[in-house]
Parts: sequence; C-alpha cells; structure tokens
Amino acid sequence: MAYSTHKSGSDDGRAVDRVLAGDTDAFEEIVLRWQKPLLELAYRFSRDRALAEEMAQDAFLKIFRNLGRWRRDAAFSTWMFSVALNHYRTTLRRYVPPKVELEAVTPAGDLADEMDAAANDRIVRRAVALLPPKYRDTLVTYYFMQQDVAETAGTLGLKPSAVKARLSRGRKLLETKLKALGHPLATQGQESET
Amino acid sequence: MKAMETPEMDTLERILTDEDELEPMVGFSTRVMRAVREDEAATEPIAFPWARFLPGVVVQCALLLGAALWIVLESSGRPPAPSSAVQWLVGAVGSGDPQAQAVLGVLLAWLGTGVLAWITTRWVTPRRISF
Repeated sequence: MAYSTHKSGSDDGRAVDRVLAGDTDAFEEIVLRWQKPLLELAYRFSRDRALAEEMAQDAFLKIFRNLGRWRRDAAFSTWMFSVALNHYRTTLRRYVPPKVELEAVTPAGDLADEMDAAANDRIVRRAVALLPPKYRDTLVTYYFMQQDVAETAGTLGLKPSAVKARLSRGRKLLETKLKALGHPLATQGQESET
Repeated sequence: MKAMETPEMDTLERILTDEDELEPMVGFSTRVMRAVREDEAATEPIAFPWARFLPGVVVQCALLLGAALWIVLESSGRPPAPSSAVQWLVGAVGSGDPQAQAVLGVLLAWLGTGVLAWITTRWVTPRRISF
C-alpha cells in the first residue's frame, strides 16, 4: 500500500500541541497513526525488513526531538516524511549492505521464461533501490506519495520541475538497468519498438 | 504528473505503486515510545561553552604573539619577518635561550590543550557535547 493523503492534519496538530506542552504520551497517537506508512517507506528504501523497522523507530525519535521545528505552513505529514526521509538517506549512506549484486539474485538463462511475475516485480523494485540516490529517492517517494509531484517535491525539498526531471532521468536509468538484465519488462519494450 | 506513454511504463508504474502492505512487528509502537521516554529522561546534552572558550583563546593568542614579538624585538631591535621569527625561535631554543624556551613551552602547552580538547569532543563523548 502506498501512502495516501491522510486527512488527519488537525488530529496531528492537536497531538503535537499536547506533546509540546509536556504530555509525552500524546506522541503515541502520532506513532500509531503513522507507523505503517513510515515503515513501508523505510522498506522501500532499504528492502530489508529488520533495517526498515530500525530506521522507522529512529525516525520517530528524530521526529519527537524536532517537533518544535514543525512550522505549520506545511502539513504535519509532509514535514514528518521529510524528517524521516533525511534520516533514511543518512542511514543508508552509512549502511553497507551485504554484497549481493542484482545479477546475482537473478537466475541464469532466459529470464522471461524462468521467472514468475512476483519475482519480476521484486527485481524492478530492487533495481530502483540500486539507482543513484537522487533518482532512487525521487522515484521511491513519488510512487509512495501516489504519484503526487507537489507532495513529493515538498517532502524532498525540491522544486516540482526538479522532481519531474529526476523522475524522467530515473526511469531511463531504470530501463537501462532492466535491459542489461534482460528483464521481460525491458525486452517487451524493445520488441514493441521493432 | 503521470507519464505513462507505453504499456511497459504502465506496468512499471503498477509495480512501483502497488507494493504489499507491511505491518509493523508486534510491540513496535511500544518500543518507539520506550525509546522516546528514555530520550526525554536523559540529561540534556551539555552545549560546548563557546562563549567562554573563544574569548580565552583570543586573549591567549594575542598574549602569545605579543610576547613572541617582544622577545624578538628585544633581542634584535627590529621587527622580524614571520619566517625569520620561526628561525630565531628554533635557533634560540637550540642555544638554550630561556626566553625562547618559555615561548616554546607556552606554544606546546597551547597546542597540547587544543589537541586534547579536540580528542575529547570528537572521540570520547561525541553524543553528549553538542556544537
């Protein structure tokens, strides 16, 4: 499930007010409301369940520490995702994943014949995770935000035009990567071009 | 913006948008709240006292430079170029000049203090001192 615009702005605002007034327990409301989207976003970046849980937990801690910095000109969710994304990106820069190349997880031979649809989907998602960070971040956030350019731009702190440019370049890079792997999605494209 | 130009792009969009739902493990929110409460209960990080540290360093530097200049002027009667001041200091320390040795001693003490302060803030207590 991708994140969908949550009409909980006023609830979040009230919970934040209570936390800032000293009621720490009120933060649990925010955790319960947003734990799933934050975890799913972390997973889309890391593709590692345990690491995603750890990153999401630390992201909540960062959000708690910085609640006072939320300027209410943006939705709480936009600010919250922005804090979480920064944390995820920093963590992944330091994190050295197990050395498993994309090619190594794909079986040898004719991929189109040997792989089922689920495996193909997994390869596409993993290929996205292996893109250069600025394209990976934009693609992951854009699709997580239900293809909302404005929300993506707000969360990443970019202009909408920059988001569009990175999406376009990111998709091209992804296609190149998939073609190199002989992924059915890319080879279908080649066939339809000829 | 939806740039779905080909069926392949449609498939790509579908793959990237629709992912399986991921439920947090049991007790996730409890763990988060425990971490939050521990963080809140922890002592506030001690801010590095720049307001007290910097004036002291500035005064110390000024005194040291003034003293070095005074010693050089006293011994040669003319203001030295920076490179000749270093040469003078090295030569004077080598010849056992007590004033030069005192200046060198202060310089080394100052350098040592700086190195220790740096090691302490960077390596020993990185999370407890905020800048």
